[in-house]
Amino acid sequence: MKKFNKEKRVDAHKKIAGEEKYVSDLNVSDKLIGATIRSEYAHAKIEEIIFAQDFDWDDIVIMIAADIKNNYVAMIEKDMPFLAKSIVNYIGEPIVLLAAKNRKKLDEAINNIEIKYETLEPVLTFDEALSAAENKDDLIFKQMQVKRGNFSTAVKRANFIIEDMVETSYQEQAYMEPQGVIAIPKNNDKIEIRGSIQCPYYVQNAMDQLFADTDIKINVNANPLGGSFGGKEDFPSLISGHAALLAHKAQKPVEIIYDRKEDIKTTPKRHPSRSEFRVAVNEEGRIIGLEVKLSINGGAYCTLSPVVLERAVLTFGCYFIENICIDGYALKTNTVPNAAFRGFGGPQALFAAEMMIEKIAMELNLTPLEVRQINMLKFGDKLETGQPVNYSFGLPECLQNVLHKSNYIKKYKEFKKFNIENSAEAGYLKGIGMSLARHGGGFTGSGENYMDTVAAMELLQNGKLKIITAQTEMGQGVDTAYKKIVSDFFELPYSQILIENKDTSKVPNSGPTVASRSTMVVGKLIVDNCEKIKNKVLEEQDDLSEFTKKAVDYYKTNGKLKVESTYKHPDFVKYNEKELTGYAYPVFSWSANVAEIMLNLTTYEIEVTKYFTSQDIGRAINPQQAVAQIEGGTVQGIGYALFENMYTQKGQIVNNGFIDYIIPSIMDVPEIEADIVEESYFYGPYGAKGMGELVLVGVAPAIASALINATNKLTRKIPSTPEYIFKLLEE
Amino acid sequence: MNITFNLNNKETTVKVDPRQTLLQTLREDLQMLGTKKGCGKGECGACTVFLDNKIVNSCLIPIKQVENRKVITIEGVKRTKYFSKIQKAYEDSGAVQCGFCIPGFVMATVDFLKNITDKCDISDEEIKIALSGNLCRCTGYIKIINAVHTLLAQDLEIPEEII
Ligand code: FES
Ligand code: FES
Repeated sequence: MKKFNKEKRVDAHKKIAGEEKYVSDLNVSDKLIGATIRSEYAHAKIEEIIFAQDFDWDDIVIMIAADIKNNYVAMIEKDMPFLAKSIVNYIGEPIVLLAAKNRKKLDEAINNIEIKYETLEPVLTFDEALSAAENKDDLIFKQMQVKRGNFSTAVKRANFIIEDMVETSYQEQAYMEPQGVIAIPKNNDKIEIRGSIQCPYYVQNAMDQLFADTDIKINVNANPLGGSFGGKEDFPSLISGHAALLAHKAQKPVEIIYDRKEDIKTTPKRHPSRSEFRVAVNEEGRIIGLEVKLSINGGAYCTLSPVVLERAVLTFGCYFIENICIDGYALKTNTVPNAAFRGFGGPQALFAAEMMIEKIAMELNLTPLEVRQINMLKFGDKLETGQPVNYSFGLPECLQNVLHKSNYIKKYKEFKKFNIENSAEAGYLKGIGMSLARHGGGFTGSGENYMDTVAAMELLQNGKLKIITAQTEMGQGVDTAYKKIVSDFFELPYSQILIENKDTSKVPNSGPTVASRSTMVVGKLIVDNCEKIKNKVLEEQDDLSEFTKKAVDYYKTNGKLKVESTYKHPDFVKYNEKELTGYAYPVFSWSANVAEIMLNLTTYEIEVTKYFTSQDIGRAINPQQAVAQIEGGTVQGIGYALFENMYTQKGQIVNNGFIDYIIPSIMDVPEIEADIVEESYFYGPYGAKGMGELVLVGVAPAIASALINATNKLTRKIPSTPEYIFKLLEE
Repeated sequence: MNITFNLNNKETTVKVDPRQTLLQTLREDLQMLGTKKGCGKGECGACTVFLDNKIVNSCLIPIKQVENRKVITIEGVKRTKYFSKIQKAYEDSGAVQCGFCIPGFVMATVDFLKNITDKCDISDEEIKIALSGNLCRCTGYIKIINAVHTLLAQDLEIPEEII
């Protein structure tokens, strides 16, 4: 076979030429444009919706809650309506939908609708939510506890009891392509949904429930996405419903594409969090007990908050802690519902865990590295759920790599000295910090076994193979990874391998494209399918170079060949979801990270100057794109750590766009030195495990740790904006 | 009203609402879909095009201002000889993920390469400044910077007139 560059992405060529078709490029003829009229209050009763009598409503399609029979968006709970009926629970909640031929008509119509409210008392802030939740259970979406040993006996044995509280803020996914879908009705009884949809089967399920008891059949066709990062995991179910309802009523295609402002103000974000910890430490700095209360702000509706919370309580650092009790709360407030964002609870928990380590170091006068080394998990140790880390455990090697590359130990002392002796003159402080991180691959707990994930593969007439899964291409490179897996298996060029459209009428439910599972879980099924096809097509003694020829022959004699495989975890991976014990994940990916910063003493701005990371992701299917993920995740993590700040006022998100919600620009990019540790995972495709989220979760704590090196104060809050640092230094 | 301008070297007349932007005109009236809308407010650079050989955010340009002027979009640039080199550099560097920002980056890259007189010893910093009007949420920018370095090492002929 001719050699070719297998790392090159299969979708890059057309994307560079502007030829990729995102949902807004579909150019569907005769379509209407949809718009959403939203609540102006965080909590209120809708008294009346008034449609101006002197306006000509003939060309306008209108939907209100009363028109919808099954008015709930199917997710974990059924609490969120497509349109608010009598009560609104957050500013921006949809109340009325309109569709018209063009924007101008729509705007006129919008101006002719008035909604009358009776306002109610909202719950807006963390403090309000926590105190309200104490006597009202319905303000808690989910409460859970991970527990091992006995914290109070640890306290008795401890030399130090250290406590503190840290907080993390919102983070907006800020995919470059805003949310959008188009619903296309076909012959009265079919609707096709196309859109920027991360998980087509989530939308399918939501639409099936919305249109249950009707004859309408839905199919969902996910276009390539202009980024998602979790932001288009659950939310497209809501707008797909909106578009579908309007389209069905109008019997015309209806497109809903958000502008940036609407997207920032009304779509789900990363949950703000608060972690209060109490840690019992012996005189050497070993943690013998830990108690944490970790709360996340779920917003007005449940969405994915329970599973975000579960991952958070199961990701509290990379340390062995004998006696541990983590209480998690997902709280309900009258704010925009929060949901999935790369890391999914991990970033909040890891920030808290790493700041706990830093605090211990400060109190005991040890270096943060020493405290990490004393407490770090060792091969064979058991995590808080009882799950042992006795395979695919690359954390020690990651740590070694990153210490070596960054020269952390030496710089840690040097920077401290510089800060004492030279910073006043230089006008800045220097800081170096580190973090350890982990991310469990796939769904938490038994999720993966319940799913019955199925992936298919088909042999075509010309000997080509078609990969058939519901995994969407959002930029992460799944199409390229899958082609590479098949190409490596059969030694075939990419031109012999096709990928089916991510259309629910054509692909089986291989589960959502989330949780760093697409390569690890669905990728494994692709290998299984390759195996099945090989067994059919080739006799045992045949070599692979004959595959295409034999495949063509096979087709001639036997006709079409389609195989399927269903995923099951390895047998020993068992989890008790009531007790939160056992294997929370089949395997973890690990990272060790070092960040260097400069803190300007005039402006209090922080610049990340260097970033070193070593990441154990199992076998890297595409090393170049693995590093690309690391770089992208690192930069997204820098934004999270330092300047992505969402402002709210009376429950309203104040930010309007990229002017006041600052995401990292090219000027904010540090030198990044990344390496990959390939601790093979025996059950993943060729040894691969998850990586898409790991790349982000360790970044903010490493930067926060560098800030501590610079300021000698605990970083209690991210983003650590100049305002925050100013206050911290004044303390 | 009707408006006439030169689009990718072709006289183009199109019926518009005078309040609409160049971006709207390109995407909605002329189906030139390679130019993307990321924010509509001049904050992201996804909509970058050339107007009289200078890069602009087309979402900020009222269409009336374009009368009798020259607009070049990615559809024009991709027909040039040098484009294939840009395409290859971006591809080989692994600079593309979701791709939504990329046509905008290509335009900014063309502009940078065209205006630079001495291609030796260009620092990361200079490249960063040149591309600082474009946001990308996926890549972390590093591989985009690498792609531009690759291009600087080649002798790309970009005409004054872009295409
Ligand atoms: S769409 Fe024009 S700058 Fe963002
Ligand atoms: S590649 Fe996705 S925004 Fe740049």
